[in-house]
Amino acid sequence: MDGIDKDVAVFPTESSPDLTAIVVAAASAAYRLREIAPLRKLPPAYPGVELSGHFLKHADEQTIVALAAIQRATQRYNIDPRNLAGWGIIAAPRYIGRLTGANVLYKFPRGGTSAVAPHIVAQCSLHSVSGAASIALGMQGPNVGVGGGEWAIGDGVMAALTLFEIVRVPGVWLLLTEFDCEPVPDEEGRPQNDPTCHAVALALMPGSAGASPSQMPGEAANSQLTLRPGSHSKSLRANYPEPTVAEIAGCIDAAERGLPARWACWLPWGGRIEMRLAAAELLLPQEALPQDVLPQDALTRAA
Amino acid sequence: MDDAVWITGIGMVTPLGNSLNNIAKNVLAGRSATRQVFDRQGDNLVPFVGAEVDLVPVPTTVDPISFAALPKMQQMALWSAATALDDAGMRQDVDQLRIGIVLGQGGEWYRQWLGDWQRHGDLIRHPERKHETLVTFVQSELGLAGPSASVGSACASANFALELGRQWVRRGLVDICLAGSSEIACPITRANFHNLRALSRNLADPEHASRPFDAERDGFVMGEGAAIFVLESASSARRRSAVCYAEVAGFGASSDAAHMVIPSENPVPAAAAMQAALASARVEPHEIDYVNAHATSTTVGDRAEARALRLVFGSDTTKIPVSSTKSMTGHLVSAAAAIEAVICIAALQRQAIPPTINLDHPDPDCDLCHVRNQAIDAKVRVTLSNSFGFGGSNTSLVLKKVA
Repeated sequence: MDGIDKDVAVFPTESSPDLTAIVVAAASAAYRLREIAPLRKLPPAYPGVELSGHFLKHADEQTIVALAAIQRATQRYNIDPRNLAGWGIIAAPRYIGRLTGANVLYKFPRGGTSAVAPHIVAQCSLHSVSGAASIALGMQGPNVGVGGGEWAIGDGVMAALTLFEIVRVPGVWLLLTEFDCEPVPDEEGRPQNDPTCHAVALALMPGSAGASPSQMPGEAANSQLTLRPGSHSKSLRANYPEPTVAEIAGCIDAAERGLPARWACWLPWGGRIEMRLAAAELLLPQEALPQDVLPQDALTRAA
Repeated sequence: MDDAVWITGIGMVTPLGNSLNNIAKNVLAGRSATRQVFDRQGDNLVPFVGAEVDLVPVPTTVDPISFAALPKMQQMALWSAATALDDAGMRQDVDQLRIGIVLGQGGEWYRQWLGDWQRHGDLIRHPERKHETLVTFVQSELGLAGPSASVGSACASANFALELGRQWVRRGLVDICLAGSSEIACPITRANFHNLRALSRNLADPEHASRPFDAERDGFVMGEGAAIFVLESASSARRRSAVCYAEVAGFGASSDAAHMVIPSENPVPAAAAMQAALASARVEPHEIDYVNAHATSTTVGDRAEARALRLVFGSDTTKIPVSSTKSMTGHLVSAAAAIEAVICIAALQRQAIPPTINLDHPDPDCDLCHVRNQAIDAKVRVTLSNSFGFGGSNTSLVLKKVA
């Protein structure tokens, strides 16, 4: 885990203040590929949301593990998604759809159009994890996928912290998913290895731009996700190691064990992400989550 | 307004032309780009109706031979980004500026894997090999040093890209931001939509296949193309006396939270996205001069949008002109909102509203103020462009003419 370095003070420039969010809930999930198939038959069940038993039948593996991470977070922090109906969802999967895609590439030249399952666009695209999560949780705030490839974590954090400005949502679920080593499909798209799919679910509320921890409310000051924009100097574009979802899951695990935890990484353009998590019991309780949701206001007016 | 963000450069490649002038001329003339196209499937060529780009121009300073070897998706994105910077007069300033880039994307990987496989590659089975995203490709080719992101909300992706870029400019994260999308008509995507029975099968009369809001529609037509915009703060644009095409004035988004594919019959979430866009642009519904509808030419989608429009505009629904330019361009999927933003700019610039062509028998369940088959002259100061996508994503973008 990369600690928070003293040289952070070099950045940011005056014109680009930090973007900060309070982490109000955090959880992770990890499953080996062979463990995911049984989960397809167990779609999440939240009060007020009616999901078909087939909801996950064609879902990508990363969608399934992301939903498991959210479920852990909602259970651990006793969150009822009905109270967060206006929250947004940002999901940053990585190389989604490899196994399904390999199977399609095997079948397509042999069977043509009719060999292509009608689910690939819906289930194996950048939007698929966020779209499925919005349905599973019954959330009508915006949902969007970001990243998709290398540095997807950076894209996800940046989009999540910006989303508060875009639509003034009261909160955002940030879902980060990836395989720790990618599945290797055979000729027909069957996996030849058994990698682990990791997912992290962070429930974020807006923090003040550039605010110091002491300006944050209560104990939540100790649980923050911050983007420190970097310099635009090209000389600073370095080959930083790409962060992994497993690293962030490790930080969450430490918090769950009652330890204050921190994680940070540099981004290729010179920005830096920093996350501090208070011990889990210090994260905001359910009662403190905002219940007034802008889109719901709009919905009421529209109705 | 101090935090206003303007569009000061545009680059595009579309089936209806590669410049704002050509696109404006063609859509205002009601020309269709849809025709019969063929997908190679094994040894067979299978016909579909499509709207495709035949040849992507080579950007200046790019070697034509290496450009010709690039996949079409990369060609279209590189051309559009480079010409947008040229158009804004900023290509030479790339080294001095922190330039961000946000591109709307959809099934980037299966498209890339298919393209690689069609070139006899095997990338999909070799995860250790480099997988370059479209965004990082453009960033690297043009030497851009700012932050970048791919965003995906299916057919609503490019609206999200424009908004994310706008926020990066407003927050000072970037000096300027390139935002838009590039989309190819991938055979797997086309087969997917065909098997969902979402595509028109009107091979006998392809020019009339895309018929949004028409009672005789039978599905949408896939198109392809790219449009990328330079987003810049109004203060910066004023300082350098830049040309301003429009202000990106407002954005709204919501989710149906209903179904991964089928638009919700409940118009409230889509209406909420439009209302949020109007609120963030600080305009009242009656101030909208033109709605570029998402309407793709599917019965369920067109009707759902018509219901949402009626909810937002109430009694003004009968007065506010609506058209779906997908009748001419086809549906560019993740790049749809980008090309439709170009068309809204054309409307603002030419003071004319493009039509929905092939709208011979309006669906009575889509009772709107249609601009049918012929463009109309009109005072256009504010436009609203809807883009909705799989995963229940609803987005609306407001553009304003800058005096």
